[in-house]
Amino acid sequence: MLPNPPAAAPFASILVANRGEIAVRIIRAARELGLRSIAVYSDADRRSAHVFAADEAYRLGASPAAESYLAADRLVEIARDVEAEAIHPGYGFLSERAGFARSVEDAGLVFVGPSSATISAMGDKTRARATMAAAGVPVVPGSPGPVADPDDARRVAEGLGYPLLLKAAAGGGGKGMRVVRDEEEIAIAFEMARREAEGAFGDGSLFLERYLERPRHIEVQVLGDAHGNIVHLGERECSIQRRHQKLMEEAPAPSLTDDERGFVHAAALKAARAVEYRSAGTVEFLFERDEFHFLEMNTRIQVEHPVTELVSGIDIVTAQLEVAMGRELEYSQEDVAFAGHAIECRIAAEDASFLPATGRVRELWVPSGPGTRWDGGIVAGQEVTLHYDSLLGKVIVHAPDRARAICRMERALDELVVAGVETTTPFHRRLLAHPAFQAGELSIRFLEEYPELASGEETDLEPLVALAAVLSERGAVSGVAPRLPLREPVRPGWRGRG
Amino acid sequence: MRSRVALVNGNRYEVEIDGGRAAVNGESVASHLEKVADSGVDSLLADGRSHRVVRAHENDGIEIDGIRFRVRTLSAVRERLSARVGGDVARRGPEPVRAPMPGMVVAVRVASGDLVEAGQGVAVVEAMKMENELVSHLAGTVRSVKVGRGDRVSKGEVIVEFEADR
Repeated sequence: MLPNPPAAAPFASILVANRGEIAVRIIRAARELGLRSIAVYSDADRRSAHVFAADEAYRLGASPAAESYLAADRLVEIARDVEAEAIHPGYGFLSERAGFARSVEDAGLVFVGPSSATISAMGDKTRARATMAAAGVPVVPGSPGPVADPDDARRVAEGLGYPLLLKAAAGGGGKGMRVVRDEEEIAIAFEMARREAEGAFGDGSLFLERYLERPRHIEVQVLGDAHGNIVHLGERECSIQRRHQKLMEEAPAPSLTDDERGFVHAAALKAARAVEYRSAGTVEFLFERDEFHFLEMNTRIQVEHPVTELVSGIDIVTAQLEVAMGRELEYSQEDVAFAGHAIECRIAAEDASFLPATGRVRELWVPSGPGTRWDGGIVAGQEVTLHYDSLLGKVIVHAPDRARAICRMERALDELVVAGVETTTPFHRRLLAHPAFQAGELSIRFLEEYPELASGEETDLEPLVALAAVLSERGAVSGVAPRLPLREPVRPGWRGRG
Repeated sequence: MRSRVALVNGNRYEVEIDGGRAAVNGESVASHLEKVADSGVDSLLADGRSHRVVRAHENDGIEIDGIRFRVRTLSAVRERLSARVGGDVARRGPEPVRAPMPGMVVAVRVASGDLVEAGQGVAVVEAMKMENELVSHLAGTVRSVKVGRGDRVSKGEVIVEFEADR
């Protein structure tokens, strides 16, 4: 059992220790609550979206994350200098580093999140597994603690049986994670996973878990206040992933029975209560053959929180801020109701192979209209660099049911233009049109099972491309757009020109 | 009349523009491209259908309705010339392993003179904290390794070159 979390306290100003879309999201909530919103930026982000969104902005340091968004001391120093009373860490960067939460607490500031004790209890994945197993939450079978070296891993693996997953004890998000199919793969996998884990989390410890062949990733949003109230806000389906990183999420999870849904909600509440959880958190499960296995608990806001907001009508980021101020949750579990279906597509600067793409965002058109939300972290003119995560923004839609949400998302994606940088949008369009996706037959191996999703062969459009290329080339040379008489009156097809 | 060849994702299209008509591979299309100055987005109307055209992510990229294509335009004369030059590609040896994205080299697993098998890892490039193993798509002898540990590489940069087979 953890010590009681320190009491939350009212505040009127908040420093957002993050960048990109989540910084903008938090700044929006803070401004709506009448708080003074304070952004910080690296040199690469001087004219990024979050700087424009906030009331104030202060320079953190050079562009590399280690010298800016990961510079914990510098962040606390700025917060004190500009008299910010609270710090919101967002996701990634310092959000799940207990040491950072502690130094914020020690500086007498409010950390928007759970206590540093909860973060460290859940951040150590092997300890988290033990805590959850003790609380009666089912976990994936694995090593009881970290494995010291490849030889130790080999010994533990013999007991568990292959295939296995070698995972960073200190982190998540797919970093420092390698599949090991047999004994021979352990040495190289261990070396790569340890180096990644050290780079991403500053801690190279690894543990082993049974590799489930075809699970779905289903997670439950929880919300707790400083008065001991905890509710869940339903589950999300996040099975569409590449390299263990999510690409698309939806709520509710399709084709679960009421019993399964009830079971996973109850398990998540059990998990949250076991650590007396305060703030917004997510309990992640793998679901295979009608069974849920606890994967990890993320002690922060998540990228995919908007799908839950749309189906529950609860503003999770605002709730986080209110809970941090010491307010009691305004609703009990019975008050939480769900309506419709929501889908989120992560728009990331990546090419067709999901490798990072860079460039300048020359033009940006974002989708709007009924049931459509854009949570963006970019502005036109902004440079997309390799310093940070590739996520540019998220398109989120809400509709009465899943089929209509898919149609709405297809329409919304048609409206999106990010000129100058390659994005994951074409992938999402292929995914939405895929029969297995439409049927809700999902697993975290979806992309491996349907490799055609990764690269599109839209040969139908090629003649048009040829035409556009030649016409545009002529325009560029002559400076005059070619004007050809139309064969018949124009009946403009509706395509993102609302 | 103006006649051009467009290579779209490697496929060849003949485009003819003659006063008021455009034709692609002989098929007539009523078309109008409206360019917007300083914008990356043009409007193409083709037989009344409205399309969005985004030009040049890289030099040869074009995007229609959100889908990206590689495209190169050239005259018929230039096409005949380049066909002749392309005739001796076979003598240049196997394609080198290139960086698929910009990043930093964190490991090099081969040295010149090494025999590699198809599918063997030759180097590891880190980008955005993810390590990506670069594999050779064919078997061969390494002629030279162009990068070292800690080097920054740009997209498409040669990592490992192979000896030409005899």
